Amino acid sequence: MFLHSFLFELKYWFKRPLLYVFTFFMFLFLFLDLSNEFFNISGGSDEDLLKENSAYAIRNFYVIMSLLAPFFTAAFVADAARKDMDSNFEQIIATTKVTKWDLLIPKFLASFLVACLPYLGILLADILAQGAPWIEARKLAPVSWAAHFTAMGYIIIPNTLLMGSILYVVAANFKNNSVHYIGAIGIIALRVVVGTFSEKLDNKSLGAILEPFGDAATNLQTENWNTLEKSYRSIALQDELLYNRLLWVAVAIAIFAVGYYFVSFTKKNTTITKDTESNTVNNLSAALPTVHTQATSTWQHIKGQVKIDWLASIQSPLFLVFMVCGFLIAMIALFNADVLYGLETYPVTYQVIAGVNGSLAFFQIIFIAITSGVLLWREKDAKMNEIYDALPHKTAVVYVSKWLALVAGLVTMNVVSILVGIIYQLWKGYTDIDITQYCMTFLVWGTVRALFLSALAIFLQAMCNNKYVGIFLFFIIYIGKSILLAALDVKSKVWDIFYLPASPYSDMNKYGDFMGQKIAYAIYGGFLAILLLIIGSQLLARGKNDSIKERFLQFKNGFKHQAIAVLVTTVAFIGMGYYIYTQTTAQSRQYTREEEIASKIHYEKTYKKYETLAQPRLVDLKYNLDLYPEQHTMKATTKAILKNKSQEPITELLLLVDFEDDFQLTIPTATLTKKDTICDVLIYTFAQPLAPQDSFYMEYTLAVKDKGLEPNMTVVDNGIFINNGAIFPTIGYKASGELEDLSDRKDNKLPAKSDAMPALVPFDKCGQACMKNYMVDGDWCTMETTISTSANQTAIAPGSLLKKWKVGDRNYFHYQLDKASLPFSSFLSAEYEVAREKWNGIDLEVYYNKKHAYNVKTMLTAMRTSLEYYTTNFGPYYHKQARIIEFPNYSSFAQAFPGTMPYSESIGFIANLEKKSDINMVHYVVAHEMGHQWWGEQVCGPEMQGSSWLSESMAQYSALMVMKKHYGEDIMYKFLRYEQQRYLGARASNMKGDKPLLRVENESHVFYQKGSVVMYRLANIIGEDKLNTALKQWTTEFAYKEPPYPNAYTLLAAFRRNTPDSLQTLWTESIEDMITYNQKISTVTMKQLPSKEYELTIQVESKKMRTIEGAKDKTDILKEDISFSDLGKLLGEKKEIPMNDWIDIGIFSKEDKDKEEVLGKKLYYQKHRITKKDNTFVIIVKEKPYQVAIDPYYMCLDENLVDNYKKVN
Amino acid sequence: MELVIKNLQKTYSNGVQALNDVSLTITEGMFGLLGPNGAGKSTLMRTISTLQESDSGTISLNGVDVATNKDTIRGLLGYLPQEFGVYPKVSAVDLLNHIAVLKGVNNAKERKEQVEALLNRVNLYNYRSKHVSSYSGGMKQRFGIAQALLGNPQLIIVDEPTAGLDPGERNRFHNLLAEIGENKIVILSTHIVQDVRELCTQMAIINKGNLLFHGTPDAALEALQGKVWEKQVSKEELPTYFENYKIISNKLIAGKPTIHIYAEDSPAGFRLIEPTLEDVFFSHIV
Repeated sequence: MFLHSFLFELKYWFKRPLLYVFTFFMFLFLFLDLSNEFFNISGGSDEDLLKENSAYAIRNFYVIMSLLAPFFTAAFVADAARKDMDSNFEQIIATTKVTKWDLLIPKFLASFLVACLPYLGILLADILAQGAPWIEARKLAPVSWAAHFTAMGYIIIPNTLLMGSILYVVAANFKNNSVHYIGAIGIIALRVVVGTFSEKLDNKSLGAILEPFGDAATNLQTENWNTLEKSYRSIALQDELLYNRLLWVAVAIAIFAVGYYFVSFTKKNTTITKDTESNTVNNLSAALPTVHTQATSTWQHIKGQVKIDWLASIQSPLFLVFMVCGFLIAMIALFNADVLYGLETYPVTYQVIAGVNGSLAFFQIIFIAITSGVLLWREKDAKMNEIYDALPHKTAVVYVSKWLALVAGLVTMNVVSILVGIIYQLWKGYTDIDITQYCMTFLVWGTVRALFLSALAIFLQAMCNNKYVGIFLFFIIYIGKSILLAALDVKSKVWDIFYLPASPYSDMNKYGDFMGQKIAYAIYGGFLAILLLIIGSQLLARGKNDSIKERFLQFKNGFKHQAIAVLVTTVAFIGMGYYIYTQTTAQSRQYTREEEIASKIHYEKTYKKYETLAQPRLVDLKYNLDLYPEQHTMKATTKAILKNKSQEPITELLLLVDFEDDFQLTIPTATLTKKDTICDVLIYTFAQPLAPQDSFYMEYTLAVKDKGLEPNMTVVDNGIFINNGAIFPTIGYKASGELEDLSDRKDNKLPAKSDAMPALVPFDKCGQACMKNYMVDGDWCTMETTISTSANQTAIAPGSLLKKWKVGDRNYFHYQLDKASLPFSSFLSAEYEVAREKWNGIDLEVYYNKKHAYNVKTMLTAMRTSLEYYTTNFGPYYHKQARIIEFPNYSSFAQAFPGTMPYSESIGFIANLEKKSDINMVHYVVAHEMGHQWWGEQVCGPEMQGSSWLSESMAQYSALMVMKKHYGEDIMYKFLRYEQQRYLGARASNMKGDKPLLRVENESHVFYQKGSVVMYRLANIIGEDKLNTALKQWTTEFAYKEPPYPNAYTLLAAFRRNTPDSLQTLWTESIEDMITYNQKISTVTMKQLPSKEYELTIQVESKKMRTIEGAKDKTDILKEDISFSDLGKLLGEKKEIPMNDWIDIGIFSKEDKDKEEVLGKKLYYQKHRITKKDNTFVIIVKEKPYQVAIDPYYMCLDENLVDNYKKVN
Repeated sequence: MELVIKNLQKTYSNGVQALNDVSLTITEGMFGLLGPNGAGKSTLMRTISTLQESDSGTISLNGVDVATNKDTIRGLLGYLPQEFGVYPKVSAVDLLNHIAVLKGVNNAKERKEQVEALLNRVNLYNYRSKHVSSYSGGMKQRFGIAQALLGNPQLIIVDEPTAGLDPGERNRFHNLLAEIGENKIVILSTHIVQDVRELCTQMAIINKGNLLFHGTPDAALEALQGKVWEKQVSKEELPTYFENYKIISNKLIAGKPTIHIYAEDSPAGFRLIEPTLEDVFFSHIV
């Protein structure tokens, strides 16, 4: 009986199309993913070692596709649970001899098996893609069978069992016949919510075990795998993943068992209004009143219909589930609105809006798709259509009513969104609530979007005349349009149906220049919506006339009356589209991908020879800027003097410009000999070749015009921030303009292009390579700026303000740099509040928006403490001012210019620094940028390996020392731990993995994060004073010195000079080599001694590894015929080496949360020389210990951070 | 008022011929449309109610063509389909009010009065604020009747309205229909012969899409006068009778087969009976 039932159920599904449809979709998605470069959801890349079908990408793909699995699991499993019930067959079965066991179990097992089968489509796609002739073999990895089977076995099957059990129980025990779909949505939401929460847990291991779908456990297992491991390695059923799977399979079985117990075949109760008075007759003879009938009132119809449908849509479980899920996710998003280093920001309105809006958008799309189907076929589904369709209303009015009812549902959602946002802000104690912004986002633009998308969804429903096809088509259009546009290389958003541009809000610049464009697109979309409404209302089927032929006839008849309206709207729509096109896309040059490639090839082939040719260097700059913020225009004139600093005469000058700009260029001593408008190249030939040490004058005027509807992000109403690179041509050939993509280069027969920097060479043999710094086209330059802006704004340029005056309604400022610096300058203008402080004759200034006064004091303190530390330890500060200047949140960074540090409004000005146990991120970022006033501004490296160590790592080191001095050592534990986490994560995803600091190139995780940790440890062991002495010596030798620019060897030599012989190997290991550790407390036992003291026996395990430097160049890795073992070498092999290091052992009491302590009291803290792997320490402490740690401050780069600490039992 | 149906033809895409050259003229008063299940009654009624197009032929009300003037016809129509449902979670009074709006009763006061009066007449007044979706079968049917009578319908089409009503309800419904039906066309489709006998002045019988009879019930009975014979037979004999006689019906009375036959002369052993409308019905569709 059991087997018979099982096979019967299987047969049933194999005969139905559903299984094949789902399998086909699984197949299709991966196949599309592998087939082209525009559709990529798996995360791999054909330009990377991590192919689109690498083990990692395949596993990702299974996980992503399984997000949708609740829907088809619901279809299979819940259907199995309900089939008999829905058809009332159960009452027949219930009377037969079949046992409950024989009836339910085989059914469940069969449908569960069927729910797993669609994933075979993924395997099939991988296999078939290997043979597809249009997919280049090198873009694919061989089929990783292990990846497919482990994903299937460890993730998909257990998850399907879990979801299946839940859905089965839900479906079998509730009478509502769509409740399992609500259950499916609930599961998806649960997965997203729990996933986010488990990542927030401090105890990752516990989170990984408890997260029901194994995502966290998989991530934990793979997070630190390097690229090679990710490519080939499959997950193993061990540790957290094993426990997780065991736990949740057990839970699944338990849920099923409970559900099984409760399932019964007896008829469910339904609430029926009983007619108890049918025989008591009243008013039988009352005459029926006469009424007057007219044509149905359109207004009353719409009002009544919208009310009925709107109420239905917001009372549906779908609405409730979406609201709950949406807001849960919004809350998580808001709680996670960390900026950096675990620091919160104040819940300013625009951030809260972005959080709520972003979380809800996804649910709104699903809501629109599904509800459009529900509403349009509501009468049909309620079987009321025969009554309804025979009523004398107009079909078009029904259509419009349904559209408006859907919009009303969305507006309801948006109103609730506003309330949720405001409640969140108030709950956080933030009262500066900007209601206007809420209304703008949710009521104005939210409604416009709702009107548009609903018009599309309802139209598709009417057109398809089938609920499910309509829903499906809506998703396809919504998801497919961007893929299609990318594939067709269409740049203009005019082709993007119902596109509404974003309108980011900045407290400084409000909605800036974004609204004009948005309104234009709204009008454009509005015409399309009207068009869809007119046509759609003629498509809506009424009565039983739903054959294609009948509907076509109906459409033809209806269309006759609407032809003029359709024509007028179409003309208006096209006209508006054309207007937007001319005002946006047509404002700039448009290249197709092919043209872009061709121009890059031409650039490289024609001008590469100039790369080695000497070019003159900037020595003096006079800027004259007139800014017109309200008009979004400006005029900038740069008067430059350039000098031939090479040994040979220069005959030709190559300049890179942008021919889209409106510019004028004058060089009195040279003539224009070549003008290449495609590659944006100008070549001037000097009348007399420019002899060495000779200089010449050049003037460049740039006029920035308003770009029509295209929003201007730099020359804005309030908060202009431009740097000199934007208003002056680039001098000489730059390799960055060459074609990068390896396969494009190969297709065009260009040699493979290395992405490696020039190799580090000893300083005395550096030659030409050290004659240029890595930042700009000039050396130490004198600079002067005259800048004007509108009457209510302050304009700021580098240097001291010499003069300030007013002409008409414009403010003028004249600045001069006090010390010749590298020509890297910023120009800013906005309405500013200014906070000032004087320190040792230097003006400390913060220019900020009046809404953002929160951290201005901290910024001043940070500048002062930085200057105190740096001038004492590194050398003098040569500028007469240090300025922090706020700019709008269109970018989020802080940057150092001579004496000036522009700082984005989003990263420091709104940071919430109230919690003292957090790292003061504002102080840290300012200290880092102040560090650059030495590292980068005073001493700058050449374009060569290791130069980022000189600037970025030293700025990190400087900031850390300032922070340590100001906030104490304990807080640094948090910082270093955080830096190590980021380092490990970035190293895993970087193709080349790790780099030694001395030869670091563009790897930011090396020069920032690794740099921080390594330099902190060196200072700790060798001595902060020794390192600072070395830095001072190095600065004295090289600050503001004409080229050659010092490379990384010069600083290393300075450090070594100040280090005792016994510690020299530290430099070798930390800077020249790549050494990592794994420090671990294995066990700790405690006993109380008679003296009331505590004796701890601590077993530690210490490992030390050396990574052998792997690939220098991506071309080495991305070869076609590279072997597995060669790849391993290229990605850097790790070898265990003997320990011989000073490592800290610490014992701590419990931290006092009230005192906002980061770590507890140090009961014991000592450096130990560790020379072997396993060591045991017996330590006696006086107070009760809470935890012990090896390397408590995370100063050694550690492969596994969690096991450094252990709590004492 | 005159509803003229001419040469109506409808074949479904699955090949079923629902209407075959049906022509009928229906005037004011109650009109009974009789036919077995699947005869084409509902197709005919839906076509008159503008819900369905015919393949050929025309329907006109007072000379107005239904197919091309759907809105006009709908304005005059009260329609109760054979099977119907309602929006979930909407009360009777709200739903009737909404339908009244759709029927063009634009005056809110008149609408309220009519809705209340109808709720009283169909005996649902006490349940007016309950969800219609929770009504029992009979209550729902009464609701259906009420909605059909909303507005000012001149052409009332009710498709098997008394199915599911108990005898008391059925009587009340008949009374209501009879009252409403004055000066209007009421088309009542049914397979219960008794309904027609009680209510209708005109009737038609259709089967398999063909119009078999059209006239007054009296005329139909007149035609069978003296031609219907009855006999109780045993089960074993039945096949012989089927071979030798034109059997109108064969049913059990107290467990014994009783047959009615049609015969011009008097067959041996049979008893002449007064024909009923049921005999008329069966004699046409056999």
